[in-house]
Amino acid sequence: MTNPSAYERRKQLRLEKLGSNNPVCGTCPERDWRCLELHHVADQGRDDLTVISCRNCHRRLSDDQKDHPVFNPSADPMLDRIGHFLLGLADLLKLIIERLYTFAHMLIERAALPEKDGAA
Amino acid sequence: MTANSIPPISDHLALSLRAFAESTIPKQPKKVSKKRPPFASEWTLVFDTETTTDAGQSLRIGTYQLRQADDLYGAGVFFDPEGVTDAELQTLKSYTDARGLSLLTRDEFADQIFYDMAYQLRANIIGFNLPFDISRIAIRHGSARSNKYQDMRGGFTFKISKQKIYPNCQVKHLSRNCSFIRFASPMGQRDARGERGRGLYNRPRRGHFVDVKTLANALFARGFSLADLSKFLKVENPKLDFDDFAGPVTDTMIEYAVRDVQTTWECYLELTERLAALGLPKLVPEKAYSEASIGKAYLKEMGIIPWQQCQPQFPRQILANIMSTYFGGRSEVRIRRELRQVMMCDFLSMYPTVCTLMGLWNFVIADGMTTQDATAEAKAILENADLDWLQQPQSWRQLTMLVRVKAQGDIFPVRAAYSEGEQSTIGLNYLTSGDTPLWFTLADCIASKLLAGKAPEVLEAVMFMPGEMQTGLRPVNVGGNADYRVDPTKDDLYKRLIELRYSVKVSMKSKSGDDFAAMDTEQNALKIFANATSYGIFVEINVNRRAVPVPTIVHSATSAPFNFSTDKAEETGPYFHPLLATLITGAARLMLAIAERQVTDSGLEWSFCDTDSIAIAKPDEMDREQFAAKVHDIVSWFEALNPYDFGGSILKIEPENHALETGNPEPLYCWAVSAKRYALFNLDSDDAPIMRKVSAHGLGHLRPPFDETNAPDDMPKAHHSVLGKGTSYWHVDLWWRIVRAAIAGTPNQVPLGYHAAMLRPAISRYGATSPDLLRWFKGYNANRKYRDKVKPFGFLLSMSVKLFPNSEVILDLAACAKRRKKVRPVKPAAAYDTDYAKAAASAFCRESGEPVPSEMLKTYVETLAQYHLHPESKFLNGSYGEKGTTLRRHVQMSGVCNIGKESNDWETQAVLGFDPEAAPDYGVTESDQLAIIARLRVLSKSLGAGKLATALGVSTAKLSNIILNKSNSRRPVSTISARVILGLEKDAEVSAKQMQSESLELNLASKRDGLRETARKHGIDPSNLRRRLKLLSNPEGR
Repeated sequence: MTNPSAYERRKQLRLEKLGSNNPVCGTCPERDWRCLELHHVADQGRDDLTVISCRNCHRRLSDDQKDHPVFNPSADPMLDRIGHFLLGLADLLKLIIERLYTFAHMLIERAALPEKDGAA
Repeated sequence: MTANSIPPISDHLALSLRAFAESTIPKQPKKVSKKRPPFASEWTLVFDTETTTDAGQSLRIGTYQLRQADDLYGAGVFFDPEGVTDAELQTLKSYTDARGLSLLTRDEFADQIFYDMAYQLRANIIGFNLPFDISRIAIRHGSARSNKYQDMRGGFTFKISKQKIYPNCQVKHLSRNCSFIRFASPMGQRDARGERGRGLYNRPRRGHFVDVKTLANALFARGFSLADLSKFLKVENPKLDFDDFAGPVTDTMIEYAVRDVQTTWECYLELTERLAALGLPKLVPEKAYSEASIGKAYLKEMGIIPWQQCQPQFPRQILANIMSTYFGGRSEVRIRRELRQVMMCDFLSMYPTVCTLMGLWNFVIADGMTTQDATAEAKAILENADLDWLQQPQSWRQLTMLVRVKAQGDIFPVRAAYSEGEQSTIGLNYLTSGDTPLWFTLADCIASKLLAGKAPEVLEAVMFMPGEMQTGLRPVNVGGNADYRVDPTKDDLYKRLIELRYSVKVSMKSKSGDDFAAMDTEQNALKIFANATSYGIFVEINVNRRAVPVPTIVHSATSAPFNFSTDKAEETGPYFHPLLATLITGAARLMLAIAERQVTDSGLEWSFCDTDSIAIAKPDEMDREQFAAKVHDIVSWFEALNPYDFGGSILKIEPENHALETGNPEPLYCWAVSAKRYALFNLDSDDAPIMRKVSAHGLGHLRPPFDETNAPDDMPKAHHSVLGKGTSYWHVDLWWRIVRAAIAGTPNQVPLGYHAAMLRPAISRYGATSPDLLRWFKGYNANRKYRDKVKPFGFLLSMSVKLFPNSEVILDLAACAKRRKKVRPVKPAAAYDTDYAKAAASAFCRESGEPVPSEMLKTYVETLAQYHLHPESKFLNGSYGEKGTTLRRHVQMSGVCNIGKESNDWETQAVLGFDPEAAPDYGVTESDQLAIIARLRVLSKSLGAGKLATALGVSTAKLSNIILNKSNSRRPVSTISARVILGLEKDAEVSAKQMQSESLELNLASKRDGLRETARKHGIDPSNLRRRLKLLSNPEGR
């Protein structure tokens, strides 16, 4: 018997890091473990809470975070953290809403297409 | 009702009361990721080992299967190159080649399969009795190291691979059916620099170990061997029969080993399906340690937040008061070693029933609880409580109270060491607590009133009330069946479960075959759920050993909180709720007290009681019909207390009261020796006993000397209903002989040499399940190769040596003049062998490694010589030679010992005997400690320190530390017996009186006759007489 390829080990290590045996991007239907990463909702260093996100979505979410207010050393840390967390959550919801719009339009466009042969 | 006469005080004892202890060192937050690791991947490694049959039980061959989901990815055989001969290796090669299996050395298996695959791929690692198999593939072992907050202390760590990158494996034995197993942290840095820079710390990979034995025990609440389990689950490939493990490795042996792995895998699949059918998605097989795990998972599934989380800051003094009222079930013998006709009665699901009657489910689903003073209410209840009041179910709702009483000859559960050097036991005895008031449940106070005829003097009472119902509670389907839906907001869980089980059992009667089996599984699931959630989880306390004693604050009901250093940490379980535990057991004792009162009021007697059952005895002069009618009246009395939808009494007449063949009522007889040691039987036309139920208490540690196939043929074949649940054929046989001797009028002389095997050495099975137990073999293991050493989890047989093993040695007077040689005690053990005669012949001393001749070993006859006379020390008239009715002691409380979980490590103690160090002991209270020290100071002056130390059984240095009240002398003080101190004080008093009269006499004589003349008359020197007179006039000036 030969050992499975390094692929399987990489996969299990990744799944372990992601904390799930069946990971899926929180904002799109991506399920390929190779494309999935952990995104800090309130930005790194502010809060440990992470969500699984695919590389594309993660890039967009991280870019959005660059527009969040910069670090203010004199701010109340608790309120500052909650504020950044809510901003991060809003970014996530924004992506989800975009997806919903896209999906809704897709359905409407599909509904408008002529019926195929044999269809009721 | 008039107060029964209170007997005079018979004992001065220190009471052992449970305390609530918590460490004063706060837990430091761990710097690890809060994200929980995922469950195991779809990969699975199943493996099994076959070993040598010597004491080392070293690896010979092993087999494994590696699976990805259900697909077999690879399978093979591995071997220890030192454990197989060249010819055997050839056999292995030809076998594996012919079947396409891999053949690996142990090292290759460890590196390529165990770590490269199972560890790296996060596989489930599966085995049957996995700790044993892990220990066999290890190349080195040691004690598990962990910091003082982790719970692997007391376990082993195994080095399995020679590669340093792979972590060790840690195993901690918890019970016969359960162990914690995990990978230790690997060497080196497990977090990347970037992660560390960002404050991200990964948890070490702990692995996913599933012991099929543990999983089966959790699901079916009973122990299995792999053979039994494979038959029970009806798997496609059951375990094969094979027993020539000492022989060479043959195709048959390899076939057997390969099949074992397949059987284990099939059992695992079947068990995981059954677990999944319970509808508990968060309970994974690796976390199902016992039926309590399943019970807790159901509560979690219902969304119930444990009480400790609702009220983390609950006042510690109230917790201590609650803990002090906690006692286990009541188990007593009243008519000892007398043949009596009885009717055996048992309460229907006692703990769920009292939970329902008291409405305790409301506490489980409540968001905390509140307290209020209820002194007036408690006094009023105790004033009015009688049998009529107790017969009203609504009365039981008022029992959620704890009462502080001044015990003055009241009958209460008394936990004390009734016999010197013995473990504390609980007996329902008369108690006088002096000036120290004690807390008891209201149920115990009512029981005292019922039995003693007077209500205890109430000083204070606290009523507990459930808080608001928790939000977010969800219904669950028990056993995954929608018909068995339980809504925690509407249903009383305990009531619902018992009703559901009853309905299933009724339906079962009309079924057969697979339908019957399926319903039996359902009713079993309901039973397990009811039992697992109605008591044990509320008083779950796990005792962890720490590396060093750490400061602990002890909250006691009888003193102010005090600091104590101990190496035993009591950690409460997640659903810890001691109020519920104490109310449940208190109410169960009240049920038994009601039954006892009914029995005596009806002019009947009782032989014994045990937690939820009572054997009602017929007085000799009463005829059978009248007896049966009276018992039925008692049973009927309890109908009113049935809280369930189905009718009938909650006190049931047991099936043993009916004939085996016809099912008609048949006179049942009882022979009871002590608590939990009894036999129930019918008598045939020749007055020969037909055994119906026997106790295995005190016998379970011994291996069966014979089985059903080679049992003596003079005993009629035991019915299958008598066997099982821990009762072996030889237990029935032994009791049959005890009963037969009793019927023959010679109860003290039980012939025990009735089978050749009884004359052979008595053997116990012993597992080296902890580093402390393995240390037994330190001497034997010294200078042996690792392979030959006795290793962790090795099965061994232990024996005892005779009382005078060397009695043939004739006293050598010349040698007596010299200093005697220190004789090292012989501690025999032997490698595990099913042929016990062979094992005894190969016995060796586990310290010296020297062989021990079989003649030195205690036989079954010698070991069991006093079994039939076992004393019931918690009562009077209960010692070895005594028989008849036992009498309640009247205990004068001489102090309080604060103790922790008393049943800690009971499994080991059952085999190796009572270990006073096993249970947490927090010593006496400060006031008691000072009082004892003061008494010891006086005694030390009058007797002398050396004499006092000898009498107390402590060293003079230790006594000196105690008397000087040096730091942490609380624990040693608590070990000093109050009874011994009292005895010494009485002796000192007598001796002082003698000295006084001697002094008076000598003074008079010397005045009358002169000092010289008096000395001459007494034949002593005048100077010595002068000194003696001086000493007598001032005894404290010695």
